[in-house]
Amino acid sequence: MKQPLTVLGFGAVAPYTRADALPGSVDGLPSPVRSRADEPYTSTARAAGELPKLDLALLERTLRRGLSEVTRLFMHAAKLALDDAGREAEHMHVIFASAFGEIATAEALLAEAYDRDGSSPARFRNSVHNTAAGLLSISTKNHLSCTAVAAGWETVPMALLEAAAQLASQAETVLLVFAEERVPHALSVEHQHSPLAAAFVLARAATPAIGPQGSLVNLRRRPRSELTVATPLSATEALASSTDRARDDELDQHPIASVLSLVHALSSPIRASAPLGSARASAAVPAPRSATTIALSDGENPWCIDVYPRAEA
Amino acid sequence: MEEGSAQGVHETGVVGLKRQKSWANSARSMRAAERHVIAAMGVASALGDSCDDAFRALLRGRPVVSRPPFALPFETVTGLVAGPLDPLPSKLTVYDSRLARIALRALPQVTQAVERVRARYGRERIGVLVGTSTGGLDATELAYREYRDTERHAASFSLRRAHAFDALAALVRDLLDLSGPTYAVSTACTSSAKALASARRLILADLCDAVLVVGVDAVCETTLRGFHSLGVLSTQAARPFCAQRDGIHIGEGAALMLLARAGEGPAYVSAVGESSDAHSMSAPQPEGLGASDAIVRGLAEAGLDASQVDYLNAHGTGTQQNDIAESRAILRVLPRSVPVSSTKGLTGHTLGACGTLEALFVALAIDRGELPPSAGAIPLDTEIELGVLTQPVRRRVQVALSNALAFGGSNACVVLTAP
Repeated sequence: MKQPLTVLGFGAVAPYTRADALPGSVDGLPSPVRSRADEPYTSTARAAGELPKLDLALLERTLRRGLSEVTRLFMHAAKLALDDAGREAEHMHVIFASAFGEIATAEALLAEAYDRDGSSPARFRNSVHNTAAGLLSISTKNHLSCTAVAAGWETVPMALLEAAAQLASQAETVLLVFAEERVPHALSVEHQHSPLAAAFVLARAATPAIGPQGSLVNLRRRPRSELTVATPLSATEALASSTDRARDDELDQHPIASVLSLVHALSSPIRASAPLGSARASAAVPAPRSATTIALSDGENPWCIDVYPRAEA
Repeated sequence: MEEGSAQGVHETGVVGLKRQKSWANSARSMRAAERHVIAAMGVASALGDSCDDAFRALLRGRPVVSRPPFALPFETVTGLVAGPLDPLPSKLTVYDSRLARIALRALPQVTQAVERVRARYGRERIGVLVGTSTGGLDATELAYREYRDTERHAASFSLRRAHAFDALAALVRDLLDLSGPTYAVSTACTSSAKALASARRLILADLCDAVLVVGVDAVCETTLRGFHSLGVLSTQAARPFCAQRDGIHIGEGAALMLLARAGEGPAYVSAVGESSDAHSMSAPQPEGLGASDAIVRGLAEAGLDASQVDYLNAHGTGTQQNDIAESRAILRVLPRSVPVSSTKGLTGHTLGACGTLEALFVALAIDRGELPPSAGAIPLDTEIELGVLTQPVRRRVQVALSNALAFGGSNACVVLTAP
């Protein structure tokens, strides 16, 4: 990805994560991250807990009932990012990105079939991966295309590629929303990640300047050994440290954890400056503030991106 | 299914054409049409497991239906890929699902072509996009049942490798030794049409030189029960555009399309127009306003006029609502003389797979100069003023469209052109 992505706004919500474990929070929450310090995430709280009240203001009142966690997380994060950007969702291409999407609704349909040999039409209607994006388009009368993608533990870099490709062709502005709800225990014991969502309002770079809320540049694979800059704070670490489980297994990690690294790098002052990797990147962004290189996926050859933070106030 | 007297194509007025031309012209100046060759295709469906077999069955026009492969508390029929499906190699059982088995049945048909583009462009320049509405939900259903029966999780089941939408994309990428962008697009019944759109954008943005698009869905209990609960499931093969139509029947299948920046193939993808109804989660906008937007955008992106369209493969599900709304959408943009058929009466509604499967049928129609009929359409619904084909027709096709419409008000129109 050569063309920089201009960030117009962003926001995140991580309801069961301790505030002191969240990236960004150490600097007094400069980003619109919302967390609940009083509700530390534990597997017990997770199993029993209702999510804290999430902001559904983007939706028409008639559409707010019976929504899944992931749809509510989507709406909350999207609202934060849109407010941060000072934009309306009406004229944006929307991308929903999630590894497991409406997984609790899928389980509820399986339970209905097992327990009473039936299926609820309302539930079935809202079981598709594009449910949240569809509901948002209805509420905001947005006739532009919206899409929904999944790429497991590479959902973050793949969705950024989809956004970059949309911005390179027809889209002026993209609302990219990542959200992951809790996986019902009946479907998996491995994947017991906490609920998490983050949203970004992205635009095509009109000029080679850094966007009002920062820029994302040069999404590519890079050997981990060549990463000269430490990621600002491992979001995976932040989430895992707030759980009471071991995390020595890749499968224990959160599929979209790296969105928090992105949010952190966009919102906080640079801690270590990255040499501007390639000539290609420096040609695209002259006279930059220094960038932080973030690894967006696991493995020896992860997808990485250079993050230029928002301007100092 | 009766296939009585041919009604042929209505050769009537050209509605709204003038207005359409001006839309297309503005977009043409915006960007010269850039199109991508379909370098290879592969298919597994109720109509057969090769392009030749499937196309022959399309022209024959007889639905291939059977009882669902599991017990249900209602009557319906399904369009199944002929069994038995080979299990995955033992090393790969963690990926096993009916979905994966169907996709892997079609995969050998494109392997050589993928190897050629890999040699030409490099493995990191070739993407794999899967379009599916269910992912491996069929495997999840079995695992869930086992969990409820025994209160123990099925040892062999992996939510990440069997259920997740992207699991098959990673499997195909690894089997073909590719390392480009790999993900799933899941937007219900437009999934694989929108995967074609994403593939096209990845090439246009120079993020890939070729992308293998895999449209695939497998028949599973959850979708059959769900569509039954919505009251749109027929007890027989669907009869799109027929006065006596009474709903869909569910099919399954895999359609593979290798889109490439350059090379030779039977047809090209010139555009994919996309839009949202912004109306309802499951009902189409009654006037088909969103669907017509998708057609308009597709033609505009391709730099083509409505008058140039030689054939349209409709979404044509066979529900009362869809066929009326979609016909209004089509007539808002295209002349009535354009021949239209729906192939869902033959294959069943393959849900997430239908976008690529029907684009593949259209590519074959372009290549072979024959248009498939709309099975079961007689007697035609007189409220629908489309030129519905009730017999196969030999015709040279330069420009053809394939519609896909979905839950969430998601619309896509794939524009295909002759070499």
